[in-house]
Amino acid sequence: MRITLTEKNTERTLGGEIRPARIEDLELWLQWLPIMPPDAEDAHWEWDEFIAQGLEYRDELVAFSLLAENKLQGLMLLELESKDAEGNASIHVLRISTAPWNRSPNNRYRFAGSLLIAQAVKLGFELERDGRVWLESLPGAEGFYRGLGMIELREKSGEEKLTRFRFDPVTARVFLGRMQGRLER
Amino acid sequence: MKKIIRANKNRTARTLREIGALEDRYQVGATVSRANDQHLRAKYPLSRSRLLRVKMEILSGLGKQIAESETALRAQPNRETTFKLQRELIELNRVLLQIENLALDLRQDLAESGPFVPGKETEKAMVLAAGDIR
Repeated sequence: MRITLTEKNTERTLGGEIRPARIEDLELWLQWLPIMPPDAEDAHWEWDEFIAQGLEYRDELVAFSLLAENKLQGLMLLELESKDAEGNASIHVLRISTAPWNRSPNNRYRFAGSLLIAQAVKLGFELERDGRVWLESLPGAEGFYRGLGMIELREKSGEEKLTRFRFDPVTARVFLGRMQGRLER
Repeated sequence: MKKIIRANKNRTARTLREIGALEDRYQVGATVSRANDQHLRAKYPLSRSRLLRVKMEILSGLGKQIAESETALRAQPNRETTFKLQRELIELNRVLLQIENLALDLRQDLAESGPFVPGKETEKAMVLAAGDIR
């Protein structure tokens, strides 16, 4: 899927794509490691294993790469057969990370994270989940998911008390509508 | 029981520009709780040999990166590239440890697999290989 990012400092737009991750994307992911902030909540994530899981379990999982300017701008791993808090068939965002240079406050490109979530929602419609998507947010990212219009759930996940968010069919459509112009087939 | 706290209407970005600005203010990151992570690893396990192949890919990629950083450093020494090379070498050590652990686990699996008894030729090859490693 073709997408459009915006360079924060210049407001320049640039094209890119979101596609299922390939094993060769790992070389691009390696560019993240030497510059990943050591205190980042996802600094220790082994994306090599997550991508391998996506390739191994193609019917149940899928990993996506967001690429632009010959660099990996973001990664996401989805579980396709999941149920949200209401028991509805839903896409589960297992992991999502953006490149270290796309992180606040000095992020280079805008929309890497929101476009990946839009891809998950789009898949939620294509796979007849009515756009339903749910996830457990890292503490530093809760404001981001609230801002996207996701519904925040009272029930927290695990010992870490991660906040859960979900898109239902209505909020999913509103979000995708707002992302129009950034996504094309 | 009503599980929803709020629909976040007041905090929802209403325009594309506002959505873009969210990434200036917040991190982007979703994960799974430790309990869920264990559940998912059990549900979607990767064999040790599969993991080994993935780590070898990483090792190869890191090797290329290190060579590039080393060349860049020789051409123009500076702190930034030195720091980058140091981080790459740390990653290299981490991946090497992962590979060593996976190889140990595979050998353990082999030892515990029961009826398999290495023949003389296999034993000889293993002794020679161990000698090469040392």
